[in-house]
Amino acid sequence: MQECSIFQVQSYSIHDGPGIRTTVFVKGCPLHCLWCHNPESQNHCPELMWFEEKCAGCGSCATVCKAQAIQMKGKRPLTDRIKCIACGNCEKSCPTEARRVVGEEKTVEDIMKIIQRDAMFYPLSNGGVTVSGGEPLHMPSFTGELLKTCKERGYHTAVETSGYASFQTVEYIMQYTDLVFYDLKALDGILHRRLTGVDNERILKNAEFIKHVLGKEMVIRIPLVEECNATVENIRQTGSFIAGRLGKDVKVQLLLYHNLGTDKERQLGREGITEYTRPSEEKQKRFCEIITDYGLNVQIGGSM
Amino acid sequence: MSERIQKLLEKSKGKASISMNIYRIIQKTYQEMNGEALVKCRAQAIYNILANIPLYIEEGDLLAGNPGSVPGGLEIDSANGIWNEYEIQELRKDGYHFPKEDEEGLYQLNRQNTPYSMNDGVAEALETDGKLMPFLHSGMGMVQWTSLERGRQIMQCSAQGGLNLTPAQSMMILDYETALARGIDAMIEDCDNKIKEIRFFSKEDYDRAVYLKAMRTCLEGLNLYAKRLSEFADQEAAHAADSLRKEELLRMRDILRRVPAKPARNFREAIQMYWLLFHTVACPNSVLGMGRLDQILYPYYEKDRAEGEITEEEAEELLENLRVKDYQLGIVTGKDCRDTSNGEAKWHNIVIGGVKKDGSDATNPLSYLILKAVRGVPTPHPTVTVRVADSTPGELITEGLKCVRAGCSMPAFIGDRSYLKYLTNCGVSKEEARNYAVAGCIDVVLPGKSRILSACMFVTTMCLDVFLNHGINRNNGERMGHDPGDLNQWDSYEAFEKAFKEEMKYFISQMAEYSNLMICSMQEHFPEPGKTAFMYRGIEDGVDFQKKEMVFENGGVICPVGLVNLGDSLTVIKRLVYEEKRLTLTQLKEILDKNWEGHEELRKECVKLPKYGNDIEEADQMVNEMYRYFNEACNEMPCATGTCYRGSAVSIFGHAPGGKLTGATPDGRYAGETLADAGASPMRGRDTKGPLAVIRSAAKLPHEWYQAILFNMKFHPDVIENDMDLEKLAALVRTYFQYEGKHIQFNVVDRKVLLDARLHPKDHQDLMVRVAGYSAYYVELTDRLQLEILERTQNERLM
Repeated sequence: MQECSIFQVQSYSIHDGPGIRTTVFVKGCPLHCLWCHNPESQNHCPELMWFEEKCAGCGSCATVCKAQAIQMKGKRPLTDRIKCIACGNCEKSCPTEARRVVGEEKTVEDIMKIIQRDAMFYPLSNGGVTVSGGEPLHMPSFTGELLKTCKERGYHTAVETSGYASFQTVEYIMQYTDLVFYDLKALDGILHRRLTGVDNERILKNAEFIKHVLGKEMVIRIPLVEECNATVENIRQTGSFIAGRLGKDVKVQLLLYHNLGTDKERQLGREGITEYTRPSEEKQKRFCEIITDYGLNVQIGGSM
Repeated sequence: MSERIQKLLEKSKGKASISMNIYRIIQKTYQEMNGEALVKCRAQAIYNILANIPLYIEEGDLLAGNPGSVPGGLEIDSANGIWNEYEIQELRKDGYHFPKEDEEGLYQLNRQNTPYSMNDGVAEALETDGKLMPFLHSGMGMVQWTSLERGRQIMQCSAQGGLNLTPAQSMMILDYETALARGIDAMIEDCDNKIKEIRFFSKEDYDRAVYLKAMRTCLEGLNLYAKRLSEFADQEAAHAADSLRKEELLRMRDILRRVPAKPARNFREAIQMYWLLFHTVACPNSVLGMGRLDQILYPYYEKDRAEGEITEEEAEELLENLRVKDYQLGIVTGKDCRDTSNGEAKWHNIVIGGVKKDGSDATNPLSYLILKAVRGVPTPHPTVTVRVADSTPGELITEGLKCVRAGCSMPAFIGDRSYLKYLTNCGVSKEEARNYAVAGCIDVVLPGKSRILSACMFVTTMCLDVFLNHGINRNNGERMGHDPGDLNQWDSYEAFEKAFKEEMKYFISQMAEYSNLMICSMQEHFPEPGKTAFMYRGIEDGVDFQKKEMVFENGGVICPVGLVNLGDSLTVIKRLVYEEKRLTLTQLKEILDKNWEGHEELRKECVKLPKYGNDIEEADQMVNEMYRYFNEACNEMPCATGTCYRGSAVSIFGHAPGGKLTGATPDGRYAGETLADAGASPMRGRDTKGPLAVIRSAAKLPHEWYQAILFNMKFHPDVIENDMDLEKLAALVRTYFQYEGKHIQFNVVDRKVLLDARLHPKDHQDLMVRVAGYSAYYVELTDRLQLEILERTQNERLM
């Protein structure tokens, strides 16, 4: 049975595909987008989160830490992230629930137990299961087996992906996928590398492969971050790519930046946190017009 | 909303003025008729009210007839206690108006001929040191009779809108359909024919003759009232400066020349007659059902539309007008009742949707217009309930959810599958069952064919509290139950549960006894000839509807409060005391006595043990078992109507005062803390697995054996932001009903609630908000994020 580090299973998920869905968030991603909304999804291994506003400063975490990674500085527990093995002892001892380990190894069977319970809500809402992340294509064996099991039970399946994977992986996953949410962060290769840490050549090729060779239903999602990719040029290039290379039947969703990720970065003890902004409403309107001009169907937000 | 409705509504807001016109008429009648047959006196009082009540028509009003003698007026009610000096002072302090010049007259009337209240009837059968008194002292049955004398005045007093007599607390729905189709004249003729038929060979024959004559008096009063209103409209028309208004008043005059005496022929006549019967016959009564309004009025609407007699806009305006009229029907009770138990609340309930008697879908254009009127006139009452059958169009559900989204906090949704199964389980034929509606919150009633005479709230958690305390009520030190002896005597959980259940049943039997006394008091001292005429075989049988057996018998209902807390508490006892043997029951009791002081860690552990609302079998089955047993125990209790008691899982407002009376409970709850609200909702903050898990837990309860099981869910407006989200929520509703859930309603919370949640996070642990692509519990979010969402809500309001 395949295992994978999972950081959340969201029931009554309503913006990750049609109907009422169960969204499974896998942990681990090959991209490191500057604005990442879910920084806890980047690393594959479990990580400790500390909620400062809940912490009473009692020090019970420091006493139970197996790795001796916690030192009290006054009423503030300082965690050495290198020493921390995310064993969860401090989480258990914390009286105010100020500490939590995110990420837990789960088998496909574990996840299916949750999915099968939620499944009573799928038929009347035309819902199903979405695998998101992190990057689900980064854990192909787990994702593939999960999706395959879902398909065997007749559930609608969707995947949210950056498309950064090999042809073989894409082909393998897509055979069990009904709908693909596909991110296009930047069309310009250099910009893409600067924003995400990886090239987009493979991503663009995979998009065409999924659409034309595998013939999958596709929704393109463009995150809009003012300081990063929210330029007329990028939107033009993206619109042109979708209309010209993928086809005008592909729907486009513009997802606006929100700063939730920065809170989580703090909770994960990250340093050098930058907060970005979302483009103005005027700009959003302009972007929609540009994409519409390419003959494409566009909306703001992920509801469907 | 049209300008006229807007103006009418504006005038209806604010604290009302209290009038004693009806009280004067009643008292005068009783003085004149001193010593005559009770039912005759009651009928004559109704007649005299209808013959003498001062009339008025408000500017712009399209429906004639008002629930009181002055605009926004509440009429002092004679059978729920006395308005003494203290109460009048308190009333004024709370912003109500009571004319200074009436005050002396009121006290004089009170002294001269002290009215007999329903509780006087109850007290009639009790003794100061009687067996039932410790139970009544305790508040386990919610109403707390601190003494016999105090008990008589338990409601203390009330003033309500409506022209019938009190106490009038039955949850019921008149048979409007038949009345609208036949008219009062035909009903009077029926009375005459029946009276002629009677031959006197038994006591029943005699009673019937007297009763039918009284009914006739009431019906004549209705015709007279309509005649007076018609003439009044004619006079008003003569003075009307505006020619359009003049026309409206003349039309009103003509309508009232026709109805209610003769059958209604069109929509305007039908809705006027409906309103007339509603405010004169059905009211006062704060727990009335308004029936299946879309079904009652549709034949007239359909005909008018086909003939081009009325536009959709005109019909909508009339429905909005009806909402305003009902909104004006207020209630106010005495000071204590106002403070502790929602003394100003009202539950008039309009039902739409569902299926027809033949099983075909009943939704029609009026169902949608009624929802539209909710948005037009977003008053807290009358409330609307949507019956959802498998055949109900999705559009009706989403239109309903749009009202919810707009912040109307209605409609509620109820599942036909569950209600129909319950009724057929109780022996009602499929055809009759399909015509069900609800009264009160969501209690099932067959229009004209059933009535709930008494619905008592019963604090189940208190049973455990008293049981563990060796039968002593910890609030007053009085013995109210049996002493089980050594708490460590049971060697298995099952043995303990059995002993506890027996004791709980003992308390339920006391609840039933008290409830029976209320029912008897109503049957004996407060006959209702006016209403009986509009109930099943009312004229045919000539027997008061409170006394005779109805098509469906749910005359006595007991509403368990806190069963979820009780079930969760037993789960903890089972685990800690009997399975893990961590501590003895005596030790646990001692910790509870101390309200967890010094045992905070244990309390936290208790909170963390499986809880109802998370789709965990262990916890859900325990709560389920408590529900099953509670209803079974109720069914064993004889009801004064000749049948048995039934369970109805609506806590109404009992979870707060009920919690106040209950000490600490093993589920980790502190003493005095408010209990879980409603029937199927988990304890606040104890459900951590999201809304689908809660619904799955709720669906496991024995819905098919309950009159009603209330289920509340809270959502942030963002969760239903766009119409696609609404459809998903609609699918959730349908799924719950497919699994035979009974009722679901949504609270969309606004900024005010969010602000309060920041100040008192403990009280808002179940408040769900949609953050970005996901939903979360508001109080669990970071401070900054909470602020962000707060801001967002404000922005939404601006947009």
